Amino acid sequence: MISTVLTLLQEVNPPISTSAERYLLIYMVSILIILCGLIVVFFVVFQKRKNKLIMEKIRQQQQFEEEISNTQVEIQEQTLKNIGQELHDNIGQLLSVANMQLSILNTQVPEDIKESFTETKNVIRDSLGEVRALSKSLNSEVIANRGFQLSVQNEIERLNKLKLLNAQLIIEGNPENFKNSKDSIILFRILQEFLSNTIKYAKASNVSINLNYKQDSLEIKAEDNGVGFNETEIEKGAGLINMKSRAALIGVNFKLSSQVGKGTALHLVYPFRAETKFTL
Amino acid sequence: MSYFIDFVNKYAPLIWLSLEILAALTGLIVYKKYKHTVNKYFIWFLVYIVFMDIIGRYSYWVVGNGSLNFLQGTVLEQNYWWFTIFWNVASVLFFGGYYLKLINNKLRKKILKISLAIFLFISVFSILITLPKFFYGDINIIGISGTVIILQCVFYYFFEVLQSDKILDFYKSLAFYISCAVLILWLVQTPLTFFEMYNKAYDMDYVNLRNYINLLVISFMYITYTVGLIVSKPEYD
Repeated sequence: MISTVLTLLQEVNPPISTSAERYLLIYMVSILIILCGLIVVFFVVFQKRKNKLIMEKIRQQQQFEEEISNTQVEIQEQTLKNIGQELHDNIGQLLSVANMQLSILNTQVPEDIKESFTETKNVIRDSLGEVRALSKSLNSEVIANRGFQLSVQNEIERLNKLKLLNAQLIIEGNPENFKNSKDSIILFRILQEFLSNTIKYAKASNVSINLNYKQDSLEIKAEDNGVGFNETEIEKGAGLINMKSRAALIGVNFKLSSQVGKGTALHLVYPFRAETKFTL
Repeated sequence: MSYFIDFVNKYAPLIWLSLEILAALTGLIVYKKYKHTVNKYFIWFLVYIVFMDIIGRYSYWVVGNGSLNFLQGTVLEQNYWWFTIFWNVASVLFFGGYYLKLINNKLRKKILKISLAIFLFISVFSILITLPKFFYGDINIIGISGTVIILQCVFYYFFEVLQSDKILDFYKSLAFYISCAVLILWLVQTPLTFFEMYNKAYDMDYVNLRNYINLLVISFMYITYTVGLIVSKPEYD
């Protein structure tokens, strides 16, 4: 009975939305939109968090790698220093004793072998000089004490004395801008590696090194006129990888370019920086 | 204020049609970018929406002396049936297929496929048993079950994004923009189906409110699509 009355009433007055219903609808819609907004906010926060974690991981990895290459350099320098010291203290001493004894013997030598005796003595004296120069270029403390430029000069003179090739050094600018002794060791090692490769593989007759001291950086150009190599084909050996990783360690811009038959050129740009904690 | 109400009532369908065209055109312009991804289907879908919407407006010409007035008095007089089939059902099926391609998890894919089949069954079945209503109004159950499907799709997708490294570049992925847009549209439009009985000329308070809400979410959806199409990078999907 009641329900039939209700249906009749409804047919007479079709239903009209009340303001309560409309407000409920507005409220619901706003809640839903806010919820969707919250989902997006959640995504952004989650992404930031995850990004941060990943960055931290990468940084740790980088630190670890830097530590390893630092250690490598340290070990290498230690080894070279030991060899240098051995050369200087043992072989150098033996050679100088031999030299002294030959000088004493000099007076008693018969005239007929005097000439060849003097020659032998000279060879020993030269070897002594050679061993001393080599030991100096191997020992990092000596490099640090003498400074970068003197060490390079020493190396060039040594190469010229060996008569393997004709080496020359050109210096521009003010060398006093460069004070970081620890970086100078690394730079020197890179150059040394380049020169030893030139001697070993390049069959070059000339090599020139150009040091250009600028206000805030040191530009080094080293060129030989050897056989060169094909940049795409060459297998990256320990030497090249070492040069690169050492360059990266002190922030040097490293570029090694070569063409078959046209020699090899090394271009380094080292921005000066303050002494670091890096220890040798 | 009343001017604003008039403006919205008069031009709302025109506004969202132009936004639909804007989204579809943007899609066609950047189509090359998405040629090799699943998003090309989405761009086709945007074009489909434009045509679907334009054809669906045939009922404007049925009233009075319009060129289609021979349809007066027939079941095709109103366009409810058109939008039920080609929007409520077709779009849910499209998004189901789209997300099936995006989601990798096998179990979720299986659940989604079964849900889609159930949805299709429910749609056909409910149309048949409430038959004349199909031509004179919306069928609530289709809207609600469609919302369930869309919610499933979006949440499965969000889960996968959160669990994988995709989260790092989620804002470069078109699927994320699509997901936000469809989530809001379906969540907000579903409650409107319960109020559909008030959508009559003598209840202008409700009709106006309904128009605002629709204008808000539909504009939001197409603007999000357009922005998404422009800023996304295809390699992140």
